[in-house]
Amino acid sequence: MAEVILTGVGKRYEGNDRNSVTDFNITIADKEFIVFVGPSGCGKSTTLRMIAGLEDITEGELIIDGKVCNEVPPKDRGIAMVFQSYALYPHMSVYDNMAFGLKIQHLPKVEIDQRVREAARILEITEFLQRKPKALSGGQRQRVALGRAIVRHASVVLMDEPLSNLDAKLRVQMRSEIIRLHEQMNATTIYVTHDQTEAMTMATRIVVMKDGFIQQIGSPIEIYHQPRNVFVAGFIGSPAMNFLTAEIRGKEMAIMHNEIHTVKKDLAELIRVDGTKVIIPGEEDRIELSKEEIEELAKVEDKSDLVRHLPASVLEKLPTQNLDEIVISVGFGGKNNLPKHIDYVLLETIHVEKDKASKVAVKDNVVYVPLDEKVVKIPAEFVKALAPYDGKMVIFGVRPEDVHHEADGESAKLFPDALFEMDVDVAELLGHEYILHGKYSGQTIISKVPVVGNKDIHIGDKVRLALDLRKAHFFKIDTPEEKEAILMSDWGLCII
Amino acid sequence: MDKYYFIKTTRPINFGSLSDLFSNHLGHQIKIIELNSQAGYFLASSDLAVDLYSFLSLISSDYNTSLLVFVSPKNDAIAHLFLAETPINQPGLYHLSELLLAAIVNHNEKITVAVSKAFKDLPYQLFQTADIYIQCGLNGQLASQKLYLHRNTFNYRLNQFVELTGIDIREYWNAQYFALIRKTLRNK
Repeated sequence: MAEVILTGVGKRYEGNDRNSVTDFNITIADKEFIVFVGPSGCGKSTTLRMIAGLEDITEGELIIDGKVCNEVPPKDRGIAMVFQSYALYPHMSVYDNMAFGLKIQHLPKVEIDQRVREAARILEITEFLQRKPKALSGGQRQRVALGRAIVRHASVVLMDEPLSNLDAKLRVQMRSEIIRLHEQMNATTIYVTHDQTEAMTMATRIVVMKDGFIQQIGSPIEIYHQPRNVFVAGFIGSPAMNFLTAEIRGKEMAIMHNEIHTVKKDLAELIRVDGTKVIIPGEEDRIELSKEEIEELAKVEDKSDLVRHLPASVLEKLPTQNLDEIVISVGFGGKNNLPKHIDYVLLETIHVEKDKASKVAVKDNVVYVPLDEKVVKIPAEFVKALAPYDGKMVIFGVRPEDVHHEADGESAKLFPDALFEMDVDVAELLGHEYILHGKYSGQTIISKVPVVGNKDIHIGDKVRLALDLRKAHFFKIDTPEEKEAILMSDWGLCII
Repeated sequence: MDKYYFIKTTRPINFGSLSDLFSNHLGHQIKIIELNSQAGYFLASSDLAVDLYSFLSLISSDYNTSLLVFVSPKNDAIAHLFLAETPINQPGLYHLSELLLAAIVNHNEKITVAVSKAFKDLPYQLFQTADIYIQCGLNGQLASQKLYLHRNTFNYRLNQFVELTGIDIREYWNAQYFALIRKTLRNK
């Protein structure tokens, strides 16, 4: 049996200016079941082919069973491979399909026969040995494909998405068969898949890859509970983890409203200035500005920052739509409409909460106004780790299964400020549970809640949900590449 | 219709054994011409491409090598240039049009210039006939109308095009290949 070690392994194809796989480091223990998982093009199959010897290794070292194998021909590496396609040679019987690889290696006929029959016995396909592939079902064909690997008596078995071509039901069945086979064969198994369910259910350890780089290596439980970055957190788990933008404020965090209120400059609806009066279209009242106030506005050099210089009197005097809102007007005006002594004045109207007026930003003639945010208490155990991020934005992650129904579990009691009412945008019934899509503080959130009795949930219904903040994840927001975890959620703090 | 299958492997391969494998599958003799220990070609029915697509992983596993196979209508200098340059790294089965597309995307001038040159001396009216035929979505009736040609004249010219270029653009993959060549020529 074999231990497989990859040290700084990289692959660059001729003519490409960047590596397909970069600095791949892992020690795979004997008899371990390792799963490489990641989206298409992440380099997992390329890594597998390098281990198999089907591709040259551009850099780094591959050690199998204590021997450097970079230059060892594939046939001498003691490796068997199972591919995605469960195609078999159609003109050969099941027996010949399994024996063909051994015949090419010029093994004695008696030994070939012995190995094929042994593999057939393990896979329970002895009765099909003389059949042609066309007379087999999809599952039986895949068993033959596995048999082709078993007969090689390899110490390392590589599987490249072997279940991808099977239907969902058969995939579940074959999954358990492969696990059983792994136990019987006692071979080190490296399994490539893009299906995270396969990764979670089969692996002793998972390697999550993206763009040729390892993102995280860990047991399924570690990967699930302690994802190292946003990519891993989003890739593992179904439905994917919810990511919300939040600002840390001491012992609280404000979950920001992502729906940005934008108002484009519309010259047809200019607010006219008549003397010292601002006339808002559609409004009967005229809001008077004092001469000093207008002159103050005139002094503002950075027009994009004009809104920050709104006099308090304007905010107070402008008509309100409701008690929580105030109408402010921003923009720049043509000189023709203005008194001679000022260059520009507020022009457009938007609705914004009084206390948000200072956060209004103007860029490219568009006014950005942060809408309401939800402020929730951070669980005490996370406060210390998040202290360096006080006043900064972070990505707050919570898995759909940790967004509970109000009546379900203790989240609502423990975190009453994280209780919210959601309008259901989509309700997916999976039999025993619902997957509900909606908005929380303007940001999309998915919840997985159990079905209670026979009560249906429909689009447009309101449901009361609670975030289980004990299972929160926090990630840095600095740059897209560095959305690292600040701390690992529920199974104890782990500050990176 | 027969086509040329060009094979490139990452490890030396026993082409004799591979010839036997294809012969047994197709039920008639296939002889792979070995260019070197990792490259060769053979002539076989275009239908083989469909089977070969699923075979490749098996062959990879049995012969311990990755294979890149591409199907070409001709065994000419262009096909050999594609074999030498292989603008796609990923093992698998490809048609010449797919390789040309990769060459265009990767700005492989060596290939695009060579492909363009091969059509340089073609009489204009034949090129135009093929061009309009492609533009009309391989609709001969419509193409002959657009060219103000009698259908028989159109067919005659199209046959001449096929004879001179060796690329029967009435067939899907070849039409796709010529469609890309048109783009390449326009850019030159």
